Amino acid sequence: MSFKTFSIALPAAILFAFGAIGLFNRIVDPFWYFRDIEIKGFNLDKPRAAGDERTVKPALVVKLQPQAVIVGSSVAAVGLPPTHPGLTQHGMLKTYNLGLARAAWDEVQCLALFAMNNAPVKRLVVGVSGTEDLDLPACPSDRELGGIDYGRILFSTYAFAASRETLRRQDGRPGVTREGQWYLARYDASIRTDDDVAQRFALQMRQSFCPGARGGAAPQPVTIDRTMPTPQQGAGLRKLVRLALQKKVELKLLLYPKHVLLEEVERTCRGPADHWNRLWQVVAVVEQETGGSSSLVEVWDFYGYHVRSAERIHARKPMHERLWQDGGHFNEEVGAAVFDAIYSGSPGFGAMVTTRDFDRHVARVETEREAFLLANDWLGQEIGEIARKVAALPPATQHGGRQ
Amino acid sequence: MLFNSFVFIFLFLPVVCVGFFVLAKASPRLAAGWLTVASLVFYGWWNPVYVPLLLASIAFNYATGMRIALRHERGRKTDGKRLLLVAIGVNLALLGYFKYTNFFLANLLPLTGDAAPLPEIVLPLGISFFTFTQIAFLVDAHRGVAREYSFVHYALFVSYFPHLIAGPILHHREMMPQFEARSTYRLNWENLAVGLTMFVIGLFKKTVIADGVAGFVTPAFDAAAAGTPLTLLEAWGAALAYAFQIYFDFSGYTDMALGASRMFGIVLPLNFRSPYKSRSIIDFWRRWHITLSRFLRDYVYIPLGGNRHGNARMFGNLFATMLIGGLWHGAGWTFVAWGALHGVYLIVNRGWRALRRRARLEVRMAEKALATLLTFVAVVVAWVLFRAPTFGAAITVLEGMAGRHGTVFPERWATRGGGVGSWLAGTGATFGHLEHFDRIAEANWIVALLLVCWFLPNTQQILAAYRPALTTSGYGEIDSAGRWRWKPGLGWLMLLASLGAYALLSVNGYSEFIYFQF
Repeated sequence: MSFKTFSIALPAAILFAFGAIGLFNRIVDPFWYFRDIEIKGFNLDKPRAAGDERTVKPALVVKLQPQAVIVGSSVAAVGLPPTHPGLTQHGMLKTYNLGLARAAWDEVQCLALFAMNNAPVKRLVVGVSGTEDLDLPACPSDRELGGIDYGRILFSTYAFAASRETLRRQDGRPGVTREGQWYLARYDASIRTDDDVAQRFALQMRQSFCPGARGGAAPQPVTIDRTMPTPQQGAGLRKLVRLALQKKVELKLLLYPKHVLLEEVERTCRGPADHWNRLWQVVAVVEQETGGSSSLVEVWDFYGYHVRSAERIHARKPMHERLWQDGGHFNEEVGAAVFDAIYSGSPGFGAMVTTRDFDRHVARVETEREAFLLANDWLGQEIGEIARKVAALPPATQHGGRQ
Repeated sequence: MLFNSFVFIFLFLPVVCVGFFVLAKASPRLAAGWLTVASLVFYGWWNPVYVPLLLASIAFNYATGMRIALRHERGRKTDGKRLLLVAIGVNLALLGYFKYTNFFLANLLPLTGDAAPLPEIVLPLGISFFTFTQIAFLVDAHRGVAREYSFVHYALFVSYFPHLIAGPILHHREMMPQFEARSTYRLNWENLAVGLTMFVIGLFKKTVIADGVAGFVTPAFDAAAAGTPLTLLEAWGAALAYAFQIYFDFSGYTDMALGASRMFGIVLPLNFRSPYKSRSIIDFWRRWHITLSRFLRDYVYIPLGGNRHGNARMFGNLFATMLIGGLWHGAGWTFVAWGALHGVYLIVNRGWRALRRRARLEVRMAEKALATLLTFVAVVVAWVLFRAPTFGAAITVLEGMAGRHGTVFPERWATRGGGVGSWLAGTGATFGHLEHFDRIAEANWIVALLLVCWFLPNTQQILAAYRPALTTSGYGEIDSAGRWRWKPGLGWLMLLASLGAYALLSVNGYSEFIYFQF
């Protein structure tokens, strides 16, 4: 072969292989970005679509232009069904779940602002979790957030591996839905027994455990910090509320349901006030921004000792029939109940909270807890079981790192 | 701009290459100018603010170099020396300001009790390289070695994009004749084929191997920096993984630099010659970053007196040269300590050689293998200092390597480790979960890379028949790779196309070369 032939053939061959793999990834579309070639048994299930959600999901908001958007952490991504008829006005609104795993408040807030600025959003549900300040983070530009990295989703070994896995795993165990809801472990075939579920709870709850954690601690007086925030405090949330009011977006700020096992461990280890302080911050800021008169912005709290939050680990159900995957992640059945309460006014689960009825709400939940503990002695046993599993976790990963 | 970016590979390089040969038909000087402008664009892509700094440095050194050369010609050597010292001072002041201001302030301010914040100084890319290149030019102008060159060729010599950011450190003697030769400006398919081959191999080394192994390094060193102790295997895993990361990162960069340059018909000096095959530290420094070694030899070690004033002075000169080498790599005490350690290694090596010569010891085959292993271990230990962000982190890793934080093997090794797992279980070894280096794949990577470094020929050996690089006297020749030798044919085409496509698909995000920070 002459040098000339070689010099021309080598780049041509590389480009051909490179382009062919890009084309293959484009057809398989493992991250569900292009959405134009969807063939049952070939690429309809997208087991890897959740794998690159930070690259793809915000870009899809720009591309799909949804009118009803859910923003939050993995709790929202897994549990809140974007196709709920209440949220979508019976299918009238285009919808998308922009929940991202491990998204803390700063990222959640940036995504919510991004969604309102880049799509014709009419309804926005924002999950509020954590205990960090509700301040104003420096958000990436809309271009950074909503741009799509074609190199990564088409021309990368990562995308190629995702495409191959997509072709291999067309077995009816979906990873995500078209509207961005993520099934997490719901269809994980390796979780079969109650013991497997207990292990999953242990892994998720290990950060919350402290030595001697147990359930059913005697009721303590709850001291809530009820000072009204200064105008500088909660600047991030204020910006969000103002933009919603300005764009006439129906904004629901949501404090997620939590499994009672996790609630009880957190009460023992952190005290009962954390959640109430967080709720107070949110309702107080919203009231200051809306003057308490706008029906566009509402705060909903689903913390409590409801039967929907108290599914037993020993429920002897397969994973996909359970309400909860672990202490923090509920399935869409619980999420549907959340949306039923918000959009259809179904009573009994969760409540809309303002500063005026805040005390009443706290008192109701605390009373609910007392009654629940009296009636459910399994709680302590299951917390004990989880505690044993947490203790047996490898020391290197316990509490997130070796001490 | 990075060699391993789509914009460089698909846009910059093809456009500059085509433009160069089209313009060269009209005028070689125009083509050289085009290459200079392209090099400035390449440099400014990262931060255009520093292009004027580079241009000013080029203009200053060119003008001063010409004046010094003129003084040499007219026999006014004292005058010339004064000018030379001023010019070196200006270059070092520039380098010192950008690279070492914060280092000195951070060390001085605590002594004075001042808690003022450090100024924000962004290090211009490649400043260490273009400063050293030009200091060598000035010194040679004073020695009467550098003659008058055209400004365009000088500017191209300094800013030439294949070497600008991370070397090789060029010598005007090697480059100027090539810039002046008419043959450089004629399209040569052999140059293109050889250049493409080197570039593809380098790209694969960087994006697949160096970036692949980097994932094992960062978490372990970060953990050490946070004070988390590492077990024996974790610590050795981290140190070895870094040894291979920096090896393939720098080797990959060098191959790409030499390859890109060769496409334009310019042969760059050899900079990397299988350094982990070295049988001694002296040998290592004749194989690793060869152009820096020779710069330090010619412009630091020999001017300090070299080996001309007895052993004690020679050892002192060696140590001082390596200290400067360490500080050149980075403004931090860990780099200084790395340089000092290599200084000590070199002194021990020289002493051992003298002893062996006196005792007339024969070197057997097994001893050669042992020497290679010993040299490699010494280099790996020193890399820990080079990589660790603080002394504390380095000590944590070194303690782990010495087994001070226990020896635990990953559980997977026991169950899925095959013969190795069974053998370890038989010895009563402890198995458990490791935070780092827990997967069998990581161990396999390390072993595979070690075999590659020790037993496979390097890129220049593969291409030995086609003069892939310029060699320097005293730094080894390029011997042929035997049956691994390259020739344009279907087999090599298929292999390189596969490597190239895989390497391109591994270009993910922004991954700088380690030597860019120097």
